[in-house]
Amino acid sequence: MANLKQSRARAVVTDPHLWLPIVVLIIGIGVLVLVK
Amino acid sequence: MSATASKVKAATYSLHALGVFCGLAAATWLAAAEAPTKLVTAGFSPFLISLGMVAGVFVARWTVPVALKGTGYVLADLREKPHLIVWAVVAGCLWAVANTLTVFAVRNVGLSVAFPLWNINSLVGLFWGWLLFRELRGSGWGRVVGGAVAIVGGACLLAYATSQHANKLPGGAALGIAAALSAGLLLGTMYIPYRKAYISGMNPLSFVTVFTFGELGTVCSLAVAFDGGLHGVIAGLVRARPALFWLFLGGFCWVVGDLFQNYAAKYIGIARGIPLSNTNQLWGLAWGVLVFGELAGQGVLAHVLVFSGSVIMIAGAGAICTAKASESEQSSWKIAVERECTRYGLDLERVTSSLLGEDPLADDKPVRHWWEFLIMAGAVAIFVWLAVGAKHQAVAVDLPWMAVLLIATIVCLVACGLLLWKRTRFS
Repeated sequence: MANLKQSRARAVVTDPHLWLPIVVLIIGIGVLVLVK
Repeated sequence: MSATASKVKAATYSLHALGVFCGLAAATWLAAAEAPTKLVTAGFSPFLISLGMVAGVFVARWTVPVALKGTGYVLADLREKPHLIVWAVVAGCLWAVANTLTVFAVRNVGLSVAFPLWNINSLVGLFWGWLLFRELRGSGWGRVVGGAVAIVGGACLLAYATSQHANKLPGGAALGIAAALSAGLLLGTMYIPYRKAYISGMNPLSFVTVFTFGELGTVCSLAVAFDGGLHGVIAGLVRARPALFWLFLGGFCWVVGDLFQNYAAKYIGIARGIPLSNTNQLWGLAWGVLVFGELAGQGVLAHVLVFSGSVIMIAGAGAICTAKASESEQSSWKIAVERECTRYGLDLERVTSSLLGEDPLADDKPVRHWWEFLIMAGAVAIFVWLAVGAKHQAVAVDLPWMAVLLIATIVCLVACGLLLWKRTRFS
């Protein structure tokens, strides 16, 4: 069980499907600062 | 063709129709949700408007899943795929920032022109669907790409029409366009977590329950950071108390529309489901023009451009969504599902069953709890309390047209809700 949790956690942080939305989120916040 | 293959094919067609209906129903409710953002012209800060809506969204996002499936079901679903919690939170953050940007866009260029512009999110979603989830791989992709090109053309036409729009704010039109386009990028990217969750077999109701923490946390942070700190936000909420009911109502409508959109994303993918739900621009146009009289006083050219751009965008979305996924594309989807199952150790059989509209989790018979009644009663009490203190806002509306649009919206809810229940039991 602990191994499954560990391997899932590793899979999450190395998944590009996660980092792409995070980068876009940062860009969006930047635009918000400009237009507010 | 074997009996099994025939059965699978029949189920696939049925789910395509269901996904299309979900997309159309989502359009009506997402458009209705945007109407309260008109209150920004009544003197409230965009951050405050966004916070009010998201607070309403938070209440509804807890209540609707609890009413339909129960907390036991939602918790069991989350325990089975805990890795998706982070995606749901990130998606909520994206939505919150995008929603705030849309409020700025509406303030600067008006609902009827801002609305179609941020609908470029369908193009963004289509691209991510192709790139990351193996959608549009196989025959039939040409109609989808053709539709996407039409959507871009329509958006350009609307951007041109926007530049004709009179605006007294400094840099108003340009900033409004920037805000609307950025919102489109964020909303389009938000569909990455959506699709990620559904090819992992998660129920949309479970996903939105977690999603709401990301959105409420982000919008609270934005309001505190950009709108005069905590004291400023609290003072603003007190001042906006008479308008909060309308914002909560907008948030509630958004949740219903978003749920239908999630089901569309689950059953026909984001490349098809999102453009279809983005026909909300037609409904948004109807709300803006018929109810709020937004194009009154504008020249004939502005009317023609807005109308033509909208029609082109709808035609593009229609072309995309009448393009059913071919067998080769469905095989490609399957590869993406298998990839997720391998990466995160998921049960391929249960995930596939969920994607076929079945509900393997319900077979485990999760228990319903007494506190679910309290959650629903609490949500209703909050809406009643806000309604008691609500005041008519200083925004002119056409009541007969508003009634017509509301009736159409409710009919869509009942019809599509029944279809979903009969086919999938809200799986």
